Amino acid sequence: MKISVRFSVLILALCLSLPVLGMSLEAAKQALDAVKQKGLAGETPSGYLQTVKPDQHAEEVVKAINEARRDEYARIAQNHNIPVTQVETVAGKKAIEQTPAGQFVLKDGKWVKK
Amino acid sequence: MIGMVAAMGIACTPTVQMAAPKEPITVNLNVKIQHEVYVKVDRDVDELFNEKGLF
Repeated sequence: MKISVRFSVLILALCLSLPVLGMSLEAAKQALDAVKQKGLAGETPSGYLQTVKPDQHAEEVVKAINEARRDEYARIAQNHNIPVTQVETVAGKKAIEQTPAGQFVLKDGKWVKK
Repeated sequence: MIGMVAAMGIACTPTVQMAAPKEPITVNLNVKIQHEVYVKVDRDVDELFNEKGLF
């Protein structure tokens, strides 16, 4: 009896600590479109996302997506034996180009609605 | 005398012209290689956009 109580406390503690560890990549991918469409986050020339205004949920999505992007950029850079910054620049340019109208992109340090 | 100077001038001209084209050729090669890298990176980035859901 006592052991099972301790065990359930442990499970409960684990469940409560999970959100602190950050959003899973899959959850972030699914939330990404909505976050962009709501104007909470936008594309930057650096090839990474950034929040347009402070927002806890958007911040978590951006962080998870950017980490995954960083890994992919590093992989591509290694494949072609070029600096990661070059891949980031190509991706940033493309991301801004492909951003649909009504969403935010960072241009010359300012947020612009496309 | 004048003829000799003229002959020397003509004789020297080819060596001057030979040295000149060497540099532009290497520059062109670099541009070509870099362009090729960009095309490949471009393709990889495109795949990233289409497949992974990160954009």
